[in-house]
Amino acid sequence: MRKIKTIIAMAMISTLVVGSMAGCTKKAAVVTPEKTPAVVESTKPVSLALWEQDDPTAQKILDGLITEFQAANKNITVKRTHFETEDLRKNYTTASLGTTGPDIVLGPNDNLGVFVPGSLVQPIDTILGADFMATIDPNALDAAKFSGKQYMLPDRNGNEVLVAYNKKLVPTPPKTFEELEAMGLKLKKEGKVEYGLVFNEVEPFFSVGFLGAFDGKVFDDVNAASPKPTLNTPAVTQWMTFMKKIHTEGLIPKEADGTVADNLFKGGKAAFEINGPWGFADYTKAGIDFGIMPIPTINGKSPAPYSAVKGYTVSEGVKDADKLAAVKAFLIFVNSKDAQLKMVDAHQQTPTNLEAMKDAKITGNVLIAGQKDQLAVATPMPIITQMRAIWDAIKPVQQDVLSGKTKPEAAGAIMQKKAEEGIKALGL
Amino acid sequence: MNGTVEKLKKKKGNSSFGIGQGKMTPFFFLAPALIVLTLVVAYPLIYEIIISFKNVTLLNLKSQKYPWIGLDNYKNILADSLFYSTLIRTILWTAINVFFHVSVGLFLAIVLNRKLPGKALIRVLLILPWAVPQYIAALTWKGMYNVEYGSVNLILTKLFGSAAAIPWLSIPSWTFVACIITNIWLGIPFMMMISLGGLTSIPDELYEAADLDGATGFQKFKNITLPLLKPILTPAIILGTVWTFNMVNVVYIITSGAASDESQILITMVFKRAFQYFRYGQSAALSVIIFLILLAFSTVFIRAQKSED
Repeated sequence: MRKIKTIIAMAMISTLVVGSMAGCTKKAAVVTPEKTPAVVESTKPVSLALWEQDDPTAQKILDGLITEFQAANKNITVKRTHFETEDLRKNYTTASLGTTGPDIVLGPNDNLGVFVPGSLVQPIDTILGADFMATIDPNALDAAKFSGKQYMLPDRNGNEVLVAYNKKLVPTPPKTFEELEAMGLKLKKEGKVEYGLVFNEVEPFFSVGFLGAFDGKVFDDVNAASPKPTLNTPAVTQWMTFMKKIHTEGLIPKEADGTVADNLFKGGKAAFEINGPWGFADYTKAGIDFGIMPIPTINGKSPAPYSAVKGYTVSEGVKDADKLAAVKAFLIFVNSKDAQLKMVDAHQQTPTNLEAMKDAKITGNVLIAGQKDQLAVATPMPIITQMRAIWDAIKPVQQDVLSGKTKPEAAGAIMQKKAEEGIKALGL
Repeated sequence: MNGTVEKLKKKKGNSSFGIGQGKMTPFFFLAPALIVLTLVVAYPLIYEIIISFKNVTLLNLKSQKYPWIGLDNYKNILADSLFYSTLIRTILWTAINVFFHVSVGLFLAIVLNRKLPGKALIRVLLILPWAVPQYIAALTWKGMYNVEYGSVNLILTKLFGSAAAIPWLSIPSWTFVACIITNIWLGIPFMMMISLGGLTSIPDELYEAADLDGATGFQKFKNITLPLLKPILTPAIILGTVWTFNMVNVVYIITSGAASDESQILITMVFKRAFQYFRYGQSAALSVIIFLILLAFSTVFIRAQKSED
């Protein structure tokens, strides 16, 4: 018994000693990696942390690209971590204060409204070089600037919401919202659908496009030094009255978040869904024969949903020359023509690589071509920090209007007050 | 003889390196725990108290140079009417939750402590809510609260007609009730297990003696079970209160990010201020206030229990 105890104790001590020395011997133990034909000249082992908030299909494709990149650059390891949009933003902000933050973040351009004022990211054009930047769509690059500087390398352009319709239920798509409304209500009356139209009624991102049809906007001047919210306006009252009307008449569900809306449309229980291109892959998987169209005109005026770009930012903390070289090699690789074309399969948006944009896979893609009309009337989403206060102000009030707690005519004033308080709370 | 004793003493001294002899010995044993507690509890707490007196915003976050603003963060919080309405809601939230956790948990423990067919299976079923990750449980409950497609309203409308459907997720006061129901469901197994552990340690002789004296079931519960469970229930109630008071997951998920001020509690307010508005100084001040409230509660509760004894 005593012998066994001694053996176990010795084994545990050796494990502890070997374990604690493992970190020290790492450098000596690493076999010099083969020199690869890729961009990175240094052969020093580099590990890159990538955080993203993409959909499952995009995550799979991204993993494939990472494997391909690692095979060509044996000294570089890329570790991908997934977060939901809001979690990514707050976790990155917190992690960047210490040393645990990621090196690269893939996300929407409104992240810049937090990352740049917080000094959490660095300009990306100086890392990638003018030659590579010249291969990217200048319009997309413009949308990925903050205070005139290029902090993001966009990999897709769009991110807008539009209308997807079930072709089985809607053989001829409506031309106006009034037609859509009549069609939806008729289908409901006939028992063919549970609701005519569905969308995420919790997040105002999906409904804010309607505000454009009433000539409204959320800031007086988004480029001003301190933009003022413009929510206490007749346009907001009209928008909320419109929302209440389609809710009361039963065109849209009494309550629906993204999951409920998606499930109703994918189950053939809703004729139309306002959603983004990121949902298309799921519709196909669910076997829905669908078409897309811009959100139709309301009283002859086009709604203006927000459009955005999504792309890569590099942490301010990446200073080491080898790491910067690895970041450059990785970003150039995942934004090459072939890599971006692969990602299109998942996000179904226009790529930003100029060569990829000209490819037959894009020019002949009905789902991407179909987005052009919506993008033509879309508004670039404000990416200033104050936008957080706007979303936080609209979200609960829209919910209160739909539930009947707040009257549409009172909504604007409440939103305005909340937005002003929110901007003050941000310390801006 | 003397030589042998000395040798033995020497040998003994060598094998323990002298640490078993001195006055410092207890401190050596406590040292590992003290170091860990200092690192994971004391340091963050002190740091939090320090930044609660500073102005930390998104703009100066990375620089780590935060201007000292004295009591301004505290003054701003205490001058805000939202703080008081949220505090009242939080107290209500905690009181209702802990009341049901303890009463239902204790009731189930008493039932399980008796002879019961299929006791093992029932026990597993009752512990299940504890085994499900809170995040998943809250998401599932949120799905169940949908006004048309959620199972809760489907049952209600089947039983009482279509007018019985409750807008759980769209009216803030109902959302708050939905959060309470979910958290009661989540918290019962903990109290049940703690009470069950306590019940099994009560000697049967006491109940037998009470039976001989002709005591009723309620008298036995009041005069034997409850007093003997008190040493176990007191820390459990304090823990339960602190956990419930600071429950972010359930409230944050069911209220879709504590969007409405009318369904949030103090801890979601801290969460929003820190991670949505990046006001770490303000949220640290609010956290210190929460800490003081809970410290005061725990102290008063323990003292009250002791004085009763």
